[in-house]
Amino acid sequence: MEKVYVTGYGIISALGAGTPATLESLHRRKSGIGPLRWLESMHSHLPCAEIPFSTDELRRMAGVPEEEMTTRTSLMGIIALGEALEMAGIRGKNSLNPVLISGTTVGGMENTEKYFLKMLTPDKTYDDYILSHDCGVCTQMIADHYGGFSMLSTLSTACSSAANALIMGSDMIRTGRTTIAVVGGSECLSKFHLNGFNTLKILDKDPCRPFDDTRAGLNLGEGAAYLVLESEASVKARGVKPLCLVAGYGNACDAYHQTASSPEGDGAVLSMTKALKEAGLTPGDIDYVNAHGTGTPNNDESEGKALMRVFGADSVPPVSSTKSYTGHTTSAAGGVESVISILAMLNDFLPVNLNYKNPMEMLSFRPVTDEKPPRPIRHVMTNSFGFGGNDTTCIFSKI
Amino acid sequence: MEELILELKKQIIEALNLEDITPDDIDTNAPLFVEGLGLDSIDALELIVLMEKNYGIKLEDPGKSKEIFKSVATMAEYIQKHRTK
Amino acid sequence: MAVYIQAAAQISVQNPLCDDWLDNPISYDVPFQRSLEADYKRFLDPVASRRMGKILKRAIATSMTVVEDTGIKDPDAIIVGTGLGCLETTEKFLMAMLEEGEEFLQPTNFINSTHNTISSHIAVHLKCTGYNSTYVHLGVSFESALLDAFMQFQLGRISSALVGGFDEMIPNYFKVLDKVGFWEGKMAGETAVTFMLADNPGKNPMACISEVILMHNPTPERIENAIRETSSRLGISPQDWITPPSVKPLFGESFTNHAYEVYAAAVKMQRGMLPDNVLLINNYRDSETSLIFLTKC
Repeated sequence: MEKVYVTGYGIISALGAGTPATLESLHRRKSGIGPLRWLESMHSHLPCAEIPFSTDELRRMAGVPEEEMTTRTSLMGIIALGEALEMAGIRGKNSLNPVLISGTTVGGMENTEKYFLKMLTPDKTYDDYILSHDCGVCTQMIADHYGGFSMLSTLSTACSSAANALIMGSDMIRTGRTTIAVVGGSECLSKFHLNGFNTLKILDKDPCRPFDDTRAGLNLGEGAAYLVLESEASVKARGVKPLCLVAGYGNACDAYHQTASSPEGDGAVLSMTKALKEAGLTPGDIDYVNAHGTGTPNNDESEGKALMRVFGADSVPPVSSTKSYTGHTTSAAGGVESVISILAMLNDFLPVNLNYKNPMEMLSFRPVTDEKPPRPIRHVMTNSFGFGGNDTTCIFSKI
Repeated sequence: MEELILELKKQIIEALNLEDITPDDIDTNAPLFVEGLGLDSIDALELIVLMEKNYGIKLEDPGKSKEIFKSVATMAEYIQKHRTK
Repeated sequence: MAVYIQAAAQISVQNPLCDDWLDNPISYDVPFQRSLEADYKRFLDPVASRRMGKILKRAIATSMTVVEDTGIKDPDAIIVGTGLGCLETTEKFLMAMLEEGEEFLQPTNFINSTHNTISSHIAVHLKCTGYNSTYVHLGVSFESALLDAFMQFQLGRISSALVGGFDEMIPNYFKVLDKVGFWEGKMAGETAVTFMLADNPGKNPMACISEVILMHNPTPERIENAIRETSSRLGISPQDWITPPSVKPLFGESFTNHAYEVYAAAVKMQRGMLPDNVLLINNYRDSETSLIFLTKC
């Protein structure tokens, strides 16, 4: 099958804007989880991982004029996409006509939740915000800020959206529909989904403790991350050195329950197995797994058991959840964690799983507590699971 | 108690959107979850909202609520003891 | 490579789950019309459907219909396109939060507000653990789903796929979109169309999908080029494609209503009411364009 290379990536999260800030926080074990700063909500006792910039600051960073209608999701996306295009050396080179596949679920909800009641009155001041409500508009805003994108699409499979965007983009390269696909996702925190997750009673009042026996839920975060994927022919034609390879990916559905994961992690086993098969790798080849690891009792048990089934109870590779740094960036998580996995591989370190103290009895493995990898990292796997059992696994390999 | 049980059944039907089911169809002592009505974890969350909204009872840990939500009878008993409204 | 449309089913403002619209179309003279509901008890028991809004019931009913029609009980992929997702439950949660505050909100309304709840409901219902995805890209959400399915066939990963386009419209959202002139005088409606696609014709195929192309801000020249290139690859003269009159006025405007165009063309091609090569072009607000190439099986 046609090779798909990564030639650039960009990221913004609670750890800051850009890969240098992200890398530094991971090395220094500095989490971005803290009290709410920007979002107004009565649930201010719930820690979240907000991006350390206000929407006005993001607007300035993204270079979006004040009078232009936008969303926080779009601004974050513009910033992350800019870094990715820059790194790949394709920013401003619109004749390359890349496609953009982006994942989001909240879309422009942060505007809708502010203005919807006003829109229902005869007052017309806020009506245009309805046109920024849906997910696709955010993708358009992100793409049109730079221009030159020949095709756009938007994925929404809840918390695996960005990972599935990576699949769509890679498949477009593999079927010869494009030579460059930019993939990822963006999602800002909204009152809507903070309250939504709160009704599910899965938000921890303390910083999350993935894979810890005392784990009591997740912390919501926000973020955006994009990867520039490129065909071999395009890499050669442009004379660029690819950063790593998209080795394989797998998408499966748990088909078990609307919110709960199956007890033995059936969907997760399927998505990991599919990804390994497509990558032509054996479980023993994987050097690091960036887990979905939300920190909820249900996810970590189910995913942990799935890891033991795929890798064998005694040979689970180093596993960590970096949601202990970025919070759960929901639709963007697949992008954010793909970039973090690639950073770990290219810089040969294991992101330490923060806040871990007490082993989970039913699991044979413990999450990463030492940054030093037992062997050089050549292949990394990252899991992204969404409500409804939308499970996706991506594998990246060193070149 | 009888009154509370009937009221509770009506509230459960409404909260869980159990179209075509009447209070008479719900056996007061039968299990609500898995068997009986066949409710699941999302319904449990809805019942937590119901308890807080209608009776001022805050149940934080869904795991510990299992005993309370065993049947309409156990729910009513708990409500009678702990209600604040 | 061709992908066969083995079956298709719709719920709309026309009579549900049948092709009555072909001979006895219902016409409306209203700005906004919600769909005529099917008898969901045939497909769902009341306890199973207790949390389902209209859009989910329609999705299950159309999906079960194409499963029954084709005998494909366990499709290798379930892919959905929806512009706005489960709007009705989203609004319930949003309005409760805005009007009554951040307490006592109902989890069900949140869970059912995510767009992918449609494809995952179908998967849970059919117990399909295969590929599952959801596209939410404006007026080409359905075509995005179709393109993904087409690629999965091309890459040899699947031999069958259930692909649907679903949207609902609610009075408040209709009203606000109306305030900004979104409807342009056309009747607002809803969408529920499901297709069963396969790499084989089955008993009675409707039509073949030969190519799906999406474009952002295309020039007329780019569209022409794409048609020319596709035609030459398929060995068909670019002049041989016909575009039938749109059926959108019959079904109403909706983010995914292009699914009705594909459905109607497939129904007509199966009955020999259209020539062998049909090109369906969708242009959403001059920014997103799709080309779907259908051929006779």
